[in-house]
Amino acid sequence: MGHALRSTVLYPVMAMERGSTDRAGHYADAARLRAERDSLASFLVGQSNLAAENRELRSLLGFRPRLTYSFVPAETDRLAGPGSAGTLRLSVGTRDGIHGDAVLVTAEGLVGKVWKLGSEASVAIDWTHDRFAVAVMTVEGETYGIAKPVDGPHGERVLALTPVAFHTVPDTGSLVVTSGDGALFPRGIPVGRVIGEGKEPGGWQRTYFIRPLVAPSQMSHVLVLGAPMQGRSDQDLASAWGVRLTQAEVADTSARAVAPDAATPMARPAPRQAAPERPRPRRPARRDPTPELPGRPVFPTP
Amino acid sequence: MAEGTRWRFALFIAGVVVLHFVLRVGLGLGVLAPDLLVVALLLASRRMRPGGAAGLGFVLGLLEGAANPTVPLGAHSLALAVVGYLASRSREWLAGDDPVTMVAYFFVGTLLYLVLLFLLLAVIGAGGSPMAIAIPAVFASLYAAAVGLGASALYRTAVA
Repeated sequence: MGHALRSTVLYPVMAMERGSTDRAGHYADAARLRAERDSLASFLVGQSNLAAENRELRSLLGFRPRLTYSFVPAETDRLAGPGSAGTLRLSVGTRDGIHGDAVLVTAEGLVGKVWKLGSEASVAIDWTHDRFAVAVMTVEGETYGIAKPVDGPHGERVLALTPVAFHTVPDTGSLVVTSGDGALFPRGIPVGRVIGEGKEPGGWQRTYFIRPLVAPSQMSHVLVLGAPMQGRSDQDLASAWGVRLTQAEVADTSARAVAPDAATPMARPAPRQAAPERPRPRRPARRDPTPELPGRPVFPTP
Repeated sequence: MAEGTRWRFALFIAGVVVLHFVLRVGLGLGVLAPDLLVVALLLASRRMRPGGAAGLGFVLGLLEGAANPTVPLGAHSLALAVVGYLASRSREWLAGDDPVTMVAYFFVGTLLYLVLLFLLLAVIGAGGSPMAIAIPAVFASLYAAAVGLGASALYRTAVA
């Protein structure tokens, strides 16, 4: 019924709202956006050779291209009023190719996820919303848990990492990223840094406070991650933020058998009888000097 | 009420409602704009029967709920229906429309609406902290009272 009212009686107002969101984006802080763009360009130029080398190595080893994520840039408007704390109105919807529960990120890290999907605009929750929860881990992979928003030791809104095993003590300042558990948030998105220990629920586990990397005031422009797609990029999602995960990689089922010792050259596998012969991967004739983005923009379908 | 005055008043109320959605949703001003929906309902309820005022509140609540998808659709309707009914009944003991009375009327009406909305949201577990709601609710009610008094005066001037 709400959708019916929005598309009939309230249609002019909703159309006006979309226009006002677009206009607000035009008056955004251009200096900050320019600085972000310059930092990103610098990072990508520095990574371009690495990406090409990695792609060649994967090609030589016979790895299939990794799944990458598409993304849709969006502008946000913070909603106000009772029951609207931690909610954002997004300037994109299904028409732009996003789907329900899509993940929102910025250059700093995780923002939240899409909550209610519309055709032209959507509503999202950020990490301050009571319903927000994300499976996370420390970069070294020693501490896993669920991060939920709570009021921190000084009354500010932070995330609480719980339950953490009693013997596991993450260092203050440790970077926490999404672990990929639950398949909602892709693995490797920076979430925040550990700022201290919270109250122990029962003495058998610990709780740690995390200060998220993206403050609520920094959510005016976000990227909405789309569905995984086959792409030429061989970068982990974590590497898009310059994060190197030291935790053991989840087994790549697309790879052939790899020697346990990474330094040992891999033995050639015996040819299978029934399987058709796989064509030998060829070295690319020419390197593409263009820096590669960790995803492809999704353009709205006409 | 004369027939001509009735239509003018209905148009005036409709204009206030449209202005509410244009300011709050269309232009994205949010709480920077006053809650003209409650102001319109409180103004209309003074001239309507309790049942009609509750019905008007229900319809306006549906529109508000549709425009604000973060809150379940029926919450605004129920809160505004109750406010409309009580506002209409308030004529029995709140006579007169001097500025002080009108300011108190708009203030209490808006505050009652926000409290009801908060309670309804709390029942479904989406209410948030009472302290975080209390101060903004008082300011929003004062804002609505001031704007309601202005709107009332504007209508009087236009009709006169």
